[in-house]
Amino acid sequence: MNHAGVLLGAALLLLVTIIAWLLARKADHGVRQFRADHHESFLGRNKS
Amino acid sequence: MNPPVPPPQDADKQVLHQFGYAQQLLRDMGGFSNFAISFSIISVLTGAVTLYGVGLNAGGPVVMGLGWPLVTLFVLFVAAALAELASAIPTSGALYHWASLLGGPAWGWLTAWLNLIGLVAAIAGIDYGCAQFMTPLLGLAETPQNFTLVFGVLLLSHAVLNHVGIRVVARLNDFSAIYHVAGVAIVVLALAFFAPKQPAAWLFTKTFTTVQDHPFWFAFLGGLLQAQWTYTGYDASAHTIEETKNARVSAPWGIYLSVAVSGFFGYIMLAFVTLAIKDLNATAAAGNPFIYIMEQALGEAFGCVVLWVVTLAMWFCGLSCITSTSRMIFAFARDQGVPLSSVWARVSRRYRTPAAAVWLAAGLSFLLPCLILALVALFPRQLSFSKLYPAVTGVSTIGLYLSYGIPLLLKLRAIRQGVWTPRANGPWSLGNWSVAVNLVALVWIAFITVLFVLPPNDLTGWIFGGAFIALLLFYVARVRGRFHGPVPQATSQAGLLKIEAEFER
Repeated sequence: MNHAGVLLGAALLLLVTIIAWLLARKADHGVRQFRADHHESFLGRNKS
Repeated sequence: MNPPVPPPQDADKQVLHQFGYAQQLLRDMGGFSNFAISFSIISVLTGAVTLYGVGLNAGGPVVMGLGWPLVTLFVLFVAAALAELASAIPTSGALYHWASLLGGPAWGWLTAWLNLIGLVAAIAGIDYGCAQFMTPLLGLAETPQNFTLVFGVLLLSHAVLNHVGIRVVARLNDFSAIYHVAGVAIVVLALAFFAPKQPAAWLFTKTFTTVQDHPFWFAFLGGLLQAQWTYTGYDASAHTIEETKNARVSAPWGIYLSVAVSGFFGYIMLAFVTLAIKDLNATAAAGNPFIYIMEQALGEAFGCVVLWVVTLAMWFCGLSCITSTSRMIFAFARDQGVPLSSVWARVSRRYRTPAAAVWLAAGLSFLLPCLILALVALFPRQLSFSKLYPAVTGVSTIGLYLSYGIPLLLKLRAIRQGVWTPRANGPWSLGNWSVAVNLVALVWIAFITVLFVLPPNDLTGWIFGGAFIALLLFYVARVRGRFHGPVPQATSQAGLLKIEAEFER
């Protein structure tokens, strides 16, 4: 029981970390894509 | 040659103009400040601490070891889905505005009121919790009268600071974010060096409950209220979006990162606090298990220092929560959504803050515990404050999460109908993951809404159900056909610029 509980806890912590990272990476990709598509004008910068 | 591109501040203003609103509020918050306000409202040193006893009594150490990461996982999905909407529709009405645009004025109205109920209950829960910690630290007797007095003074301090300016509040929020990280570090280091510790496996394996007549797994799920209530209020980044520079990117990151960073620091703190428990039965039976653990583990004097650290964090949390609630009231009143809207939509010309909405938020929050105390005095046999306090936090959690869920559901409907296309997305977008993330978020919101009204939290269900029915009756009697949702402040660019010129004079 102890062993299974610790494994479950470790797996859950790992899962949360991976999901948090994947969602952040996807959103960051979205921001970069938007900059490219909109000539970065939404940030007030010109696309070079 | 490319045409001249407006500076970022003007780009934000132009986007706001597209929604028919003038830049009335002072846009002075940077990305960190926007993150800081949500991080301060989530405040792991407030929610996780004030409801520590609820979690511990429900399921013991595993509620901290497994319950916290479980809730964090699903809240990340909710936060990501909300962040997408904030990026697409960057107005301070946020949830209310999103629901109105996606589903019509009735959905917007319901979302706004659920959000408002949740926020007011959150302020009451946070500041009354702060008063319960601060009163004995000030050497005052722990009586309902003293708690209410301290609670009133705390609210007053928050209202005054919010009235005099977003600049001072933003600076305090920046400091608050650093303070929260430092506060967790102090708690963790103090416990790591000076407290005896249980083995780490205890967090994942030690089951314990004081809940009777229910199986352990059910009691464990009820204990998730501790984490779920902590993870509320991060919509603040969206409510302050009209005051944030580079809003369509900074505010969504503020929403998402405030949850992710809180998840990390909250877990570390809860782990060390729980591992410092000496006697589980005695801790669970204590009036405030968190204070009991601190005093038992660190001694009364050092424990007192740590409790001051926690109490000040709660003060910062309340301050940010008033900021968020006042912006919500301001935006809703700007669209004629509340009685006496013209009063609550007023902006202080001197400070450029929604001053009237600030005082309304503080006033309503003060009335809620007063009402509860009056009810307890009237029905002492049926009601007790110790049962009503978690019920208020439950109402806050359900109100806020339903208000988060409605726009997400309407967005999915709009995608299905082909009304919402990728062109509608803002820069902060999850692309082809969006639908799946929204679905997971909605399933979680539905799950916790049912969970937190089931016994032993049935009191939450009765209070929330009563408020919900009252809302529906009010809508049918006084609002239907009269409320038209978001109202543009002017129909032309010139009209919006004229409004702005009045504030910049």
